[in-house]
Amino acid sequence: MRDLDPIAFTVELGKFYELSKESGTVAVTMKRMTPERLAITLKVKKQLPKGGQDAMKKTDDASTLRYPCLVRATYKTKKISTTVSVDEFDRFQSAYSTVIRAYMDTLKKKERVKKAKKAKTSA
Amino acid sequence: MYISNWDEFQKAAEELYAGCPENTRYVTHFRRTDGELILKVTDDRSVIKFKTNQASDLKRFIQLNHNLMVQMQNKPSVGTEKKTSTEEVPVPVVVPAITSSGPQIPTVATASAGSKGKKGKKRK
Repeated sequence: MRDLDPIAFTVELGKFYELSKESGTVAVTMKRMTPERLAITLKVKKQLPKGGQDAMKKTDDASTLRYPCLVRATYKTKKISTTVSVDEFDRFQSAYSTVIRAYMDTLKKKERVKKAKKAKTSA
Repeated sequence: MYISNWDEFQKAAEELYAGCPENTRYVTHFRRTDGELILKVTDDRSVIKFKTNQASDLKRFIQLNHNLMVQMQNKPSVGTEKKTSTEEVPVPVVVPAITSSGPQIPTVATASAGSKGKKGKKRK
């Protein structure tokens, strides 16, 4: 599993979708980076992902905590992942939606019934 | 469990997430060769899924990505409200300025008397 930064992730995701033109399925998973998951990441990678500090704070009011979001993508045996911090939210969402719009083109489009109305002749 | 109605699915998905934010995950499967998009939200106890092949669902799908990630990050959702309000700031101030100055330009040479309604006559 390759760990990428959010923008590089969307680029790679686009490549996955490109490859899936021939065959296969691309799966994208999202979940919250909980303190437990962050602790594991810290153990393995020796460093916290961006924005991880915010989620590790100890407060009584959990509703004020901000978490990074873990995003993974799989195509056949290839896997990539990223963590999106709150600061990177907007950039990631816009890049991700661009990729979606670009590659999810095999969905059926609504057949638009062309209106046969001719422009009314205004004297 | 598949839900066929989008609005019901979206509502159920957001509720399921809110019910168990620690363990709920959201998975998107896209099969490009078949043109099929499958969304799944599960908290390991219950599963809800949505399947579509309509391009018209894309917009709503992108919106759901947005909403669920807001929930995952526990982010205060201010961004969307701001965007809509700032986009609709009208800039028509410039347009009337140009149109009002437009007719004035030819009358500049004929001094201020032209503004009293003789414009029509002079053009003849």
